[in-house]
Amino acid sequence: MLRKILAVDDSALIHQMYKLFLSRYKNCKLISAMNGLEAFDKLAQEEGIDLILLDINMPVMNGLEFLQRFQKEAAYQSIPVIIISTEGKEEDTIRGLKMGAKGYVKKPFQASELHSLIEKIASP
Amino acid sequence: MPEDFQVSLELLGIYIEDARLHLEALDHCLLTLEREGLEAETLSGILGPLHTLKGNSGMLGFTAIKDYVHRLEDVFARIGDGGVALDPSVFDRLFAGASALREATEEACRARAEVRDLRAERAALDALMDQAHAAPRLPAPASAPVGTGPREVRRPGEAQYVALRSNMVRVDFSQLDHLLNLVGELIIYRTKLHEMGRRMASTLADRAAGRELLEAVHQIAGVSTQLQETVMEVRMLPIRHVFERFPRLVRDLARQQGKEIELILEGEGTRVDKAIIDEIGEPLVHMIRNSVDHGIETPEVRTARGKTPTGTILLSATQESNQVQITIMDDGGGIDAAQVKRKAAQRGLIKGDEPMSDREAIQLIFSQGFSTTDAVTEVSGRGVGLDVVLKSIERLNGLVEVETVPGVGTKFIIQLPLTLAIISALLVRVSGRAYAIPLGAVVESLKFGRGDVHRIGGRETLRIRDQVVPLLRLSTLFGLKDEAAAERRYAVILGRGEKRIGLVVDGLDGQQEVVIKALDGGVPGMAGTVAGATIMGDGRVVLILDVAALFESKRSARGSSRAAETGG
Repeated sequence: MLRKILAVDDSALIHQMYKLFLSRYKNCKLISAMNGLEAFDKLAQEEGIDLILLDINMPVMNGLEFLQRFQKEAAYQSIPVIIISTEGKEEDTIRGLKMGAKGYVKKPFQASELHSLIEKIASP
Repeated sequence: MPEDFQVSLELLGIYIEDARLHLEALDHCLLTLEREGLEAETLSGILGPLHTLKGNSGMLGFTAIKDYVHRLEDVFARIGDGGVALDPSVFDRLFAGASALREATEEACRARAEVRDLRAERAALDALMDQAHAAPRLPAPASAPVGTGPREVRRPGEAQYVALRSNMVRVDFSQLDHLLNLVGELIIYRTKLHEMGRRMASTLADRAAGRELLEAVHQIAGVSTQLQETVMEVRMLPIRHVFERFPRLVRDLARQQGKEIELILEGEGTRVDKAIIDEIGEPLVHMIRNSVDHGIETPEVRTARGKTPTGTILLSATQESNQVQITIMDDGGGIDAAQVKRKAAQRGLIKGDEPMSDREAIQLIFSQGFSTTDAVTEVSGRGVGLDVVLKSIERLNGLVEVETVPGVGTKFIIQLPLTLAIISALLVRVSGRAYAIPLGAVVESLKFGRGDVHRIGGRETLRIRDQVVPLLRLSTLFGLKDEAAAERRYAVILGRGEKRIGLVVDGLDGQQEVVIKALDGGVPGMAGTVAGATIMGDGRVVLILDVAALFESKRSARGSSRAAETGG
């Protein structure tokens, strides 16, 4: 059962689309962070986050910097991360996967792509 | 379009707001590159915004925009490694590309589908990349992958904007207009209740009830004032929305004219009613064009005058109580009063020998049909003069002033109300009717007797201190019966720049905040004298005078009275 998804992206549009796309998971709370640093704040505030959707290119703390710190935190080891990448940044996706991310979706993505990956990784 | 969801207006709204910010960052980056040359930090600062714009465009199915931005990223990468040299033709293509992207994103959002063809711009970038393929690649740090490269530099305002946005709700502006209208009506009824309470409290039988009513009205007044302030606040936007297009404008104009100009913006965070934001852009564009065209000298002239070759234009906004002041200051050649006088005489605006102070002469630049350059330039010489600017600003109940020092520079000061919907007005009585005069235009009001009126050239005038002020009878203007029997009258002195006129009225009824209601189709026979109407607490409709038009009509009255030598 998915209860809480943390979406990390600097684009308000993408957050709005997550809201749209993830509305099918009833009773699942969507938490938004605009960059990696904010994501750590949310992880500390909110207990029981089941999944992280992580953009790479963000100001303040980008997705790769986030993963670098994230993988060192023992408490968060069980939370799967899905990388949301963009065309032209394939090498970053590969680095992210090496740092422990469970999968990736490339922007622009369809709702169905996101759903099937979430269902494969987090079994809601 | 994406296949499995509807692109809603809300999504488009978020997209375009975001795209505007990113494209603003793109302009900013290009301007910085052009001014300061290639810096890794400038380049890396634009990659984030472009990347987000690309991702967002893709998500909404705007493929041509997405592909173009992707290509732009490639070009910036090659600029970073030296494959694309930053020469003027490259800047032209990139600036043209930024403009095309702006059009493309705006149109795509309006039409909910891509309309603008970006193929020509795309081809221009492809050509750049083809040249770049032949060029050697430098091991420049600017092309390092994200995560190890320098941090993206966001403009401070932008980060704050992103952080705040999650608490925001999008509303249609027309709903805010409606809300403000309702608040206006609430205030009208509040005034009505207040008057009832006062009347009752003055009657012996109703005194207690009247006091209670006044008490309740007092509370309603407090809440409705807060409500009004909140609604006004919600309608306000930072003036940045207008200012942000000027760096690019100044850059393009300066380049066309071979001038070097730095534009400094200050107080972009000053908040103004959106209705004013929408209207002030055009006049400001014209004034900035004017500063570039007529103010700042060419680098050669500046150097010869012992100035820095680069001229400066300062555009600033500050709020002072319920007014916003916008200043456009340049360190250019200033305005030569003698030259202005000569031109005005040539154009028949004044008589050649008319005695006039320098200060008065400078004001002539706001006259219709005035232009200080003979050659029609590509910049300001479009038949649009400062008279049009003055009219636009007066339509917004604002004022323009100019101060200039020859050889040193010129400063234009624009005073605007924070809102168009509610104004402070002076209520006056004429032949038993009430009229409202926008307080911003009122210099003073005074009592005068018949003996104080002097006729000069057939016109009635009053001498106020050392100034002769022509009088205008509101009763004549509105075709009302003049209650000439009154021994003492009031004159409301109105100011427009250095000019003054005195409106003759029967009485003054105090100041009041009035809610402006537009008049549909105007009032027959009163065209150009009335700016709108307001409803008073007792239900009376009171006309609000159009002060700018009164100054215009004064001029025509003067012409006709001279011809007929009648006057009055």
